[in-house]
Amino acid sequence: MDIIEKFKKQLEGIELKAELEETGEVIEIKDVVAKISGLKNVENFELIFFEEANTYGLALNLEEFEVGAVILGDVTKIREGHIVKRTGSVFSINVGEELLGRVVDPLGNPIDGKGEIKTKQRLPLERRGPSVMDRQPVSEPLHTGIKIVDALTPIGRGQRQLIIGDKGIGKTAVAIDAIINQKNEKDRPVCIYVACGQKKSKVKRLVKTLEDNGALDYSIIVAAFPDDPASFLYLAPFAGVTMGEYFRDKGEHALLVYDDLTRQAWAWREISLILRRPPGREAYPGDVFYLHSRLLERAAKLSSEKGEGSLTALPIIETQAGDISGYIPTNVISITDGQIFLDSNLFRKEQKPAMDIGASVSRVGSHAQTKAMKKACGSLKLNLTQFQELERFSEFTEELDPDTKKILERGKAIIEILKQEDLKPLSFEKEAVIIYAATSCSIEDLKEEDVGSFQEKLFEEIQITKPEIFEEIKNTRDISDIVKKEIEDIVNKVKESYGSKSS
Amino acid sequence: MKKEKEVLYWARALFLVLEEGEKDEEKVIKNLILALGKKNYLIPAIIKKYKRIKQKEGKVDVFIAEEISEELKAKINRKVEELEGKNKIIDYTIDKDLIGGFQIKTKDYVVKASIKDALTKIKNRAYGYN
Repeated sequence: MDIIEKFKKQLEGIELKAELEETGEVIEIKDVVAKISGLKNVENFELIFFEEANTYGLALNLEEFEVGAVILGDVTKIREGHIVKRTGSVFSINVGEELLGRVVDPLGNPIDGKGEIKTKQRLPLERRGPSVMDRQPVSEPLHTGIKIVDALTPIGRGQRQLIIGDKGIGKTAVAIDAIINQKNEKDRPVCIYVACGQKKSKVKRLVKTLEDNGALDYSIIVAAFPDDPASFLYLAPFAGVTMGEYFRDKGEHALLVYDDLTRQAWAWREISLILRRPPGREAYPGDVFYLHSRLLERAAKLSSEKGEGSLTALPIIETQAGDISGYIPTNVISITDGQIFLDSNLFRKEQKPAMDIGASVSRVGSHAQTKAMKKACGSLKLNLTQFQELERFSEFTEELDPDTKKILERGKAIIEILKQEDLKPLSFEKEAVIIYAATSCSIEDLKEEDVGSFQEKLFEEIQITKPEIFEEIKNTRDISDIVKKEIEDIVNKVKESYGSKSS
Repeated sequence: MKKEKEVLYWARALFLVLEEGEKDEEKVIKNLILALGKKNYLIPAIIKKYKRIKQKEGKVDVFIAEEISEELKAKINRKVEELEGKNKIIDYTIDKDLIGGFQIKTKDYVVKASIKDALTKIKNRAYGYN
């Protein structure tokens, strides 16, 4: 009899009475946009339903006699004269823990073939970011596991840090490393990767990478591919942020990667032009700034009354030939709290990640840096700036005084230490140790070719002789003077094993 | 594109004039030709469009499960007038799929009051759609 009980429960509260539905009719289809007559009382951003084509649409333009709507699905099935219904609900999406480990499209439908996703809650796609009162300053670090990023442009939870650079120089790699590194972090954030206009092969590879590194269990991938309708590309980042907000509002942490927002701006430009909204600079509509600002404004660190959740955003922007003065790059740079600028020249010089130290900044993250990290990279930036200044100068002169020579050697060694391969994020305590070694232990004594293997040897040595160093840094998040001394001793020991430079 | 819009506007105007109860169709058409002037070659297209608009907007479809009494029909007609105003042609069709009750379809609204709709609603609830 329990099937009847179940049925009764399912049908609880259902009202069966005559219904009045408002309908309209498709009068025109232009690529992803449909012009619809009727639908008199439709609201902006309301979901509408194309009955014959079994497809949803989104009302965007409300005009005197017509409604302009983007189609969320197969455009080819919709014909002139098809009936369109109001649904009476603002566009919303499934959110919840059930989505973890899944690949979904911007409407929340699974595309990984692992079966239906049933969540308890839905949230509207367009929401305002938290108000000033509901926020607090960024105070907790979010470790990316990339030495150069964590040392020079630290990211805090709730920050918006832009990753900008030309195509194919490792923008996605930085974000993926950051996601993988969250695996062993305290208060692990949920990672949401929004693939906006990324190739299917790339997304497939990425999912596999995350799976192989055990990072898929705490990740959600929202994917809109280049052959999806433009409306999908436009909505994908909003879908991602809505899923992230669920965790933020619950007092948990979330890390969002938008890869990339240039494509979203392109999609919005396409839709806007077909909707006949006036084009502005580079044919982008006037609200393309608002498109990104309202999206990134939803990243926040909530106040203690609101549960102290956080939503960190890592938007990615692709530049053409290193030109960061384009319309979309300048827009997003001004919205975010700093940027990681990847330079193709450095990439060609085999510096990976190819971060340009001078052009990259983090405006709020340094407040969130742990004491250990602050102590470790105290003089790092100064050393590097001095080095960069002198490096160009030294190209013209043969004779150098010993001081200059020392700065140059030191700079070269530090740059060498900061290099890091893909998919090998370092834990926070290891980062602190190696950067402390680089800045405070005269690593310029090493031969240039030895610097690369020095890091491995150092970690090995510490692991064998004094593994408690790592433990202590991890627990106290600080480098005490005793530990400093111990690290220095071990560094000297490792250095000796290489032999001195002169010999 | 531009011409199409022009035709649509003229056709809509014609529809609104004639719907308001203007009896003298001939006079209206004559005035239209005068107003069009040199563009009177658009007349066939306008008339065609007008007929389409009239078919779509001037008509209300009522679907019923089985033949009903005049009394009930009058009730439904009153409801239709409430929704769409007077001077509409009300077309009754028998649709056995409805099982019971009726459906009214106009340009802007659909009134669902049949057993079929109730069943659909129950099905959707059971599947967990909203």
